[in-house]
Amino acid sequence: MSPPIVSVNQLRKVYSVRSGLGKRVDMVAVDGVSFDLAPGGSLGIVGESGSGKTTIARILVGLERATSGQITIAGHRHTEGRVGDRERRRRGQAIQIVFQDPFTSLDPRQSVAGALDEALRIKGGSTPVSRRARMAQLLSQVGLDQAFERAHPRALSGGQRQRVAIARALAVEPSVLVLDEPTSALDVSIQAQVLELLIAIRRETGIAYLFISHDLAVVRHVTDRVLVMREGKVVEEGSTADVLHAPKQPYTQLLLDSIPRSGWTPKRQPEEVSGATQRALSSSRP
Amino acid sequence: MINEALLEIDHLGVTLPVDGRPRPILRDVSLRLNAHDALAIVGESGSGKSMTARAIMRLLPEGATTSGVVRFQGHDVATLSGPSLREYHTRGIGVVFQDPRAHINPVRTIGDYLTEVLTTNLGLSQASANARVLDLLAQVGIPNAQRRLRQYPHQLSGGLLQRVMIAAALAPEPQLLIADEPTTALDVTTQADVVAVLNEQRQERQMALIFITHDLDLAAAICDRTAVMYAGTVVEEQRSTELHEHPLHPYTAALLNSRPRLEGVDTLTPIQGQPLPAWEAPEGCAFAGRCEFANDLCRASRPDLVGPPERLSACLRTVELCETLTLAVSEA
Repeated sequence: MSPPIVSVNQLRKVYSVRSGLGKRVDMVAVDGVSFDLAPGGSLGIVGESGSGKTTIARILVGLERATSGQITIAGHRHTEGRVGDRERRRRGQAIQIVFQDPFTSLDPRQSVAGALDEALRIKGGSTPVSRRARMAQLLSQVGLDQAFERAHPRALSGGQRQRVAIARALAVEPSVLVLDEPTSALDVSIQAQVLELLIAIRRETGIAYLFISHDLAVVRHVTDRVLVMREGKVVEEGSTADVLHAPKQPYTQLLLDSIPRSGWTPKRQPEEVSGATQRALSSSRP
Repeated sequence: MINEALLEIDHLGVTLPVDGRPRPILRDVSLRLNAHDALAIVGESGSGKSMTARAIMRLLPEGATTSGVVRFQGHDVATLSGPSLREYHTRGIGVVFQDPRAHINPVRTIGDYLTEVLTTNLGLSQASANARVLDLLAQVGIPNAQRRLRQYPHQLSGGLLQRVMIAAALAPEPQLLIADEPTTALDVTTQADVVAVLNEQRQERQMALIFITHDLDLAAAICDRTAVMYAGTVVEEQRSTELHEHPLHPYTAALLNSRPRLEGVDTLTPIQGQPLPAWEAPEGCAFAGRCEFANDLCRASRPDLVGPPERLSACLRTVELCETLTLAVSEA
């Protein structure tokens, strides 16, 4: 078996937040999380607010620094301390991210062509002609007409913007794509389009996905393994089919039971559960 | 009077001025709600579901022009003013919005927020308002109610604050509760909890409910009937269970098949194109551009919402398609 494309060992992130009385207190956002992602695999990280799932995504792409733990991406172990420009660029070619909100993740002053061209120039080793050809290829890969090249984000719908964000992330041909709730801001009919697009892209390119989501039904369609997180810790891990059909942990079962479906009736949560979720919520809002 | 509807919406249209030009937001919305009914309004962005709620509440944006009529207990709500409007906004309807943080004054305590309507509009003394509010907080499942009354909104989680807004809406004992995506911003376990509270309170109080959501399953879980909206019109209205098993409109069937699900086939069937707001809708059926069954007639003339009671559909081909659509949703 080939070595994992992403390997995370005992990852920990502690934020120091000011409590109501001005004292500094530690808030543990990620608490000893370990996982591997196989090349070309798709791993879901599922959890509610305050579970630490987005913090993991941000650490992996270098937007946050871990407090401790080891991260290896595409064979390179992340060093501790400051990251230089060259190292940052090298990491950027291995792993890219698509954010939840396509209304804030694109530069409003930059055309679609501008955004893609910038990403391709950062990759290096290209000419204006080769970049144009690659741009056309990227747009068709995400199902956008060439005419969108000159458009600015304000002229695009949410689904179209998310396609541009995906094309921009794919431009450097990363081995791993982190998708942080990529369809949560989209309408149901558009969500299905973007999910189907993501499934096709992985099938065609062999890229690996780390798919962050609160929605177990969405995760079922796009991942083959899943981690269930709660309050910074991994509660359950396994193949997506096993976790969804035969969950071993009561928390996973609770998440599944909370999803509206045919024949479902809403039930009040036992006090203990809502209390814990609420603590996690209030601590995640410093 | 026998069989008098609590709420009747007849051919409601709403137009808003954008850059000095009128822009239709709602084209033709007709709905009827009896006392104790629970009706879900489901749609994607721009479908007009929230604008319909605002029209019922008499909270339309400045400059809006309306056509058609909204009647509450037989009275045209457009004619209400002064005391009768205040009465409508307290004992008539209560409202729960999506984002409680945007609707609860952040610099006043939870206690002030909850008792205000009782003391100023219903003339209760502060002491009896407090007692009623403590009782309400217990009913919506907020522990330590005494302490909560002294707290400020930022000290409560989203789920708790949403329950506070539900308590506030229930305080004057309205006959109709309008909940506009009340759980969209909440975690799924919290959503189940808040929806359970809403459902219990509606049943205990024999209150009517309009529940606005984008989630067809959530709609079916708590509402007897579901109306599906698209581009500012109601395209289908049926009993919720029927709508899920035997959709009458191609849009409903397509929406059902584009939902990610926990069971059944694991491929999604997206609807091509994107949802349209009413002002961009073409001449004929607004869904024709995305509909796999559309023909020339569909693109030429706009269908009305017709059919036997509780089996309403705005599709010219409803009769010939109903078996196909039933099959399409049962295979998925």
